[in-house]
Amino acid sequence: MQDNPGMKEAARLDADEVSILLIGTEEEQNDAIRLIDKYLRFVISGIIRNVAIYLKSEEVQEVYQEVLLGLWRAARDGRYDADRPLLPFVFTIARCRAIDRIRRKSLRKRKIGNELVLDAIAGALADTKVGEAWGNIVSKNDGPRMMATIRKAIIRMPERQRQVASVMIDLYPEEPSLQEIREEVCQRTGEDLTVLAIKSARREARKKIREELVRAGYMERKND
Amino acid sequence: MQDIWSGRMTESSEHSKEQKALDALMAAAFRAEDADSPVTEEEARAILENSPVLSPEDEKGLAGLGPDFVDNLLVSADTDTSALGERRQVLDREIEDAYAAMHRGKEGEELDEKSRREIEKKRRELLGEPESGNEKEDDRP
Repeated sequence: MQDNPGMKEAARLDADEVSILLIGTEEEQNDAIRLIDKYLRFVISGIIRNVAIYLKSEEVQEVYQEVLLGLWRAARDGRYDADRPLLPFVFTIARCRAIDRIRRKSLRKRKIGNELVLDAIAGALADTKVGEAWGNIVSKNDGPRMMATIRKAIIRMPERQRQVASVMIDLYPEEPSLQEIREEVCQRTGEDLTVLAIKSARREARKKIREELVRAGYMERKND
Repeated sequence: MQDIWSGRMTESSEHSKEQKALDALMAAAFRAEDADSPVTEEEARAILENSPVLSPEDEKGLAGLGPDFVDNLLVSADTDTSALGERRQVLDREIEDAYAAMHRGKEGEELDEKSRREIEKKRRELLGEPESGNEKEDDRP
């Protein structure tokens, strides 16, 4: 199954051609942006979505527009460096834009690349069935695919569940109370949900991830 | 009675432990995605081969942007340069930061004039264009 509808299109992009157009005339620069949009719209948006899990779809589109405008302006101002590979540059801008957007919207700073977070993850997995399953999968070099399964399960959740899951992920290794999750969701989305709604969304989110992992054969079904 | 209680306590504690482990996996799944580091060529290839997933609403919204989406975006950017306001500076800085990150460890490899000319030549060959006045201007010592 194809997870991102833009995968086929993206493979057809001629990055060298786009790079050359970006250092060309104004019309050629516009053509370059058109080509990037044509071939990479879904891929760039996917990068944004995977960083900014809780954004509404319209906001993902806004960030995507900012990425295109950033590239266009870099080209117009003669700051685009055609000697560097295009795709890593475009994808880096997309990732930076998404991180910038979530930092602006969040009450608390996201813990990025923090060693303590990684230690906490390792600690939480130790001596658990979930951790045992993870260990088996890593030993089979299938870890990235399992991580992709989890990301997919979260991104495809209904909006409210996704928002709650994103707060838990962003604040990890903190264990925010339902009230804290509620406040953070409200800050990010402007929606003032009840604690009960947050609790229900959290339960459903966890349930869906577990179900998805069971469905993919990574974990055994619970007997309870 | 005590055994039942302690049994329930143990069960509840186990459940909580497994739940925390699941939360840890959720956090782990997104750690690689939010690194502040630049995307490498290898990562870019991996992204193309296995594109990041979108929500069904995202897919619908993006598919519905329409054929004139980029033209309208560029027209509005061209005619109203102040539209971005303070965001413009942030976007500019971001471009610089992305380059700085990509150049890290590659000092001394800046694009020199000769390389620029070669790129320009390649561009013109690809587009089948004659040499322009601008290029001559660029050739000035």
